[in-house]
Amino acid sequence: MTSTYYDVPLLKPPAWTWGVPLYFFVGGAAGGASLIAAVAEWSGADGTLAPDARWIAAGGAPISAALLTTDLGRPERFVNMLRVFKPQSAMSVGSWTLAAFSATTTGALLPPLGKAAGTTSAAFGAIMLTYTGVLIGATAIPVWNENVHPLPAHFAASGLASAAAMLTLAGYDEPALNDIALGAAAVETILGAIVERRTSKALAPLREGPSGWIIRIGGVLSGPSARHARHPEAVRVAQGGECRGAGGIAADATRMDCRRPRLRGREILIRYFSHHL
Amino acid sequence: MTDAVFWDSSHTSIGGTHAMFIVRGDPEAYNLPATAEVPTTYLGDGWRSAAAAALLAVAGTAAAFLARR
Repeated sequence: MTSTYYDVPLLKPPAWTWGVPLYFFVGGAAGGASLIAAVAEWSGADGTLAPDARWIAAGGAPISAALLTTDLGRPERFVNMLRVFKPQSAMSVGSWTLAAFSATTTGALLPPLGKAAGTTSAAFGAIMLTYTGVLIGATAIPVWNENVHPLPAHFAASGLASAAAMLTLAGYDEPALNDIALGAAAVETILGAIVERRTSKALAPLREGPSGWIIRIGGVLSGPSARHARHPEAVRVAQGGECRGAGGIAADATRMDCRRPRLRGREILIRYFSHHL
Repeated sequence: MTDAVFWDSSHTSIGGTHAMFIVRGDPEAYNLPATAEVPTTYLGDGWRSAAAAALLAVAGTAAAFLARR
């Protein structure tokens, strides 16, 4: 990169407040929860997993709307977003998706609408999981638009993993949740490796300065170390008090077969903190 | 003087900004982007990628639950 005009940056930074990144997390987790709820119901998973996942989805939808409203400054501006539907704007598509997602997740809590509304909300949930990648990918910011391909998968994986983690922390010892989290961590690990291998100058914010630290620490926590903590071997260690050493992470990164562990949220945290800090 | 550069975006996705510049040296030194694009050109790739990611998320979740039955 050559020097810019009197060191004035070529691009202005996005005028976003803290509400938008927090919305990416909450909206993604809510979308993932709605998907888990619908699949759990259709596959006949026993217990209260599906209803509880629905509550997480239905709770996340209004929080998402509130977070976006704080960014807009005045609540009535959100209504302005629904005056038109503009396919060439990812933000417009997202506003309508969030509105439809809120309505259907709330409907899924009512017994007569339950399954139909829940299934519809999962369809919108799948858009909630991924559209944020398009939203920031199709901008003028080079570090984002050069990653327009991996971004939606990255958001989908982190949203599903967050939803699965919330349900695990709520006490669900469901093997399918663990498989979802393992799969999401595998996707994060692969995407992280792909991005680290690229050499474009535009990717400097992912490697240098405070943003580089945040991205890389987040990548390790959501990718290899999450896979390690969720792996059956790690669970056995956490339960038996036996120590396998940090080389396990590298061994784990190459091993893709993941058999069912019986794992509770607290044990993930104990395992994680005792081993990696 | 041999370093004059003509900066004109009318042949890119911008399709003309009604502004053209003749500058000396690197246009980026004047904060004129070297490869100017309209961000909406990334939308097609973005939505295709989002559709693939959404399908993968649904298929993965379904596989996780159905494999355990």
